[in-house]
Amino acid sequence: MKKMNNRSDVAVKYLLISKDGNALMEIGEKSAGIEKQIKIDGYDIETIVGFPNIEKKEQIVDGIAKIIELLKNGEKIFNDDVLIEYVDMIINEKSIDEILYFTLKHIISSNLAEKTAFFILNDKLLKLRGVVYLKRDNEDIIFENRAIKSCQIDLSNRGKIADAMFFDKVVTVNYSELPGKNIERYFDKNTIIIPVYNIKGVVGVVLLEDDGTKAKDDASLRLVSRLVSLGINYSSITKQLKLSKEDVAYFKESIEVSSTLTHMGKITASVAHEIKNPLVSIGGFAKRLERYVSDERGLSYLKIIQSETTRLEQIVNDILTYSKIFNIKREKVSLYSLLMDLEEFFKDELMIKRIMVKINCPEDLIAYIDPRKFKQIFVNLIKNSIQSIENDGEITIDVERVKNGINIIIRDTGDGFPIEIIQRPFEPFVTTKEAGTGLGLSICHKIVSAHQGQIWLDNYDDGAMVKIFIPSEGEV
Amino acid sequence: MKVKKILIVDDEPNVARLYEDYLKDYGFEVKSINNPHEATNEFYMFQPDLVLLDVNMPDKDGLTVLRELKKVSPNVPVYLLTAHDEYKRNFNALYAEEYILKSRDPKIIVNLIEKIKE
Repeated sequence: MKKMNNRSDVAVKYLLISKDGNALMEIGEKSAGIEKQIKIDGYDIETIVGFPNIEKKEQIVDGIAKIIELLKNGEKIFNDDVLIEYVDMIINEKSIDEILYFTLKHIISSNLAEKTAFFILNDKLLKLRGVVYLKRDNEDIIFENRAIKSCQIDLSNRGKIADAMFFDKVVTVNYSELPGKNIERYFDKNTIIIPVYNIKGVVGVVLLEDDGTKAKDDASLRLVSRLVSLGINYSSITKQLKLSKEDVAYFKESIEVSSTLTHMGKITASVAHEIKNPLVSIGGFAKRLERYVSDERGLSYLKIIQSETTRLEQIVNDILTYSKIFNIKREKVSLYSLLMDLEEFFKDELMIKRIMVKINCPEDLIAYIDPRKFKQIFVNLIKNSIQSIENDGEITIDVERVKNGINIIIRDTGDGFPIEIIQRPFEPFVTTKEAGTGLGLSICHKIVSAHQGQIWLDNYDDGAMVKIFIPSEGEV
Repeated sequence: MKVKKILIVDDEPNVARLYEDYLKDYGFEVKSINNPHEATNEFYMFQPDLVLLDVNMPDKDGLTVLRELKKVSPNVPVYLLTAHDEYKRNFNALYAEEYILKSRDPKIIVNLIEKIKE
């Protein structure tokens, strides 16, 4: 029996795992309240109390139970002392790097492999990125966690590795079959891939070099994967716990501070998400109903339902765009060709209303901006201008380079901005249009601000005018 | 492979019904369920040739259902249905055959099935 000190008083108050009365490990104090007792294969797991979230607590209990199972059935690659030290580390909130290092170090010292590494999955980029790498060098174990970060395995196509991760299999591949960058620097023989999971799915892989000299059984390899997974899970939970504690402290301090707007934005966004599905079914059924209705008036009603649904969908999309915290991706862009594309984009509407567009922009002017976001600005502004011009009018766009940036001025010969907009420019949901969301100008403002620029709007003699300034500071 | 039977899994009954009726008109045998926990069981019972699977379900994530289905039957195509396009690049979504935005005309599903037949 071994007693552990320095336990984390928030995350785990009491944990005891014992087999037939012989404790494998014990942490915390007997006096701590026991919430529930779980018995797994002769091992008692007496409770973990103090977790804020039951689901996560069960995740940990489940993780430990699986380790016990593997210990029982598998080859004993790690002895009890190692495991106790391991649990000690996670309980004491050691960093994930330390936990990974500890686990992988024992892979080498217990002679499972000469080289090993952990790669983490980037779910969106569909890549595995190196986190730590260890190899034996004579008597020493060399550890590396910097350069390995440039080592990546590409998963954008299904293949042996992706299959192993998706179907939860342990596979052996030759290093040359690993699609990606810089792999050969770290592995130059056959490599065993062991997927690592948490409750949400696969999070990464452990790689082990297989030089054919060491016997490896599946259970030992699984144990490695479970240990890494438990470590990752646990450290992410404790991190969350810390953050939520900080959050509570922060909110206590600044309870009245204006987080209301952000909060509102979040609520709006989640409501918008919820609205999307009903809209799909309303629009879809209205379309289907057309086939069963022969009455002309009935058909016209259905058309109204459909067009109104489309409008609602547009509103929901605007809200989602607005509430998204976006990153801008700057590149060198010719504003001239961007504006020319837009003129093409609005060609039909401009023709119908007989509106002339004058673009005064040096052809060689290059701006360092996010072209897609700026296109959105121009689309919103030109749309506004077109709507405000009854028939026969002019939209002028002047672009010039000034000392410390670029000035863009857009003028039209329409009705000008309504007084509400002039008074509260860029405030979301302020609109005078029947079909508007009041987000177009707010989105423009948000994009320009993200470029550290400024945007003004005003009326002049003939109509509306919008001025945008983009500083050249961000340029390279 | 010829697609005859289609299983729809979507927690929104109306959306499921919309796709169900639509596909029935094209002569498919369609079954729709709203509880993702029943998906695997229904998959065994109904033996579909194709699954339409909603991604965003509060009870059980569609990608988890995808994993379960693909583990038992990797060859039955699964089309993910979603109201938003954020899952397009996601490791688990890689294992679905197609990815369909709900706002699009459901005809796209029929067109895709036609392609399988070829």
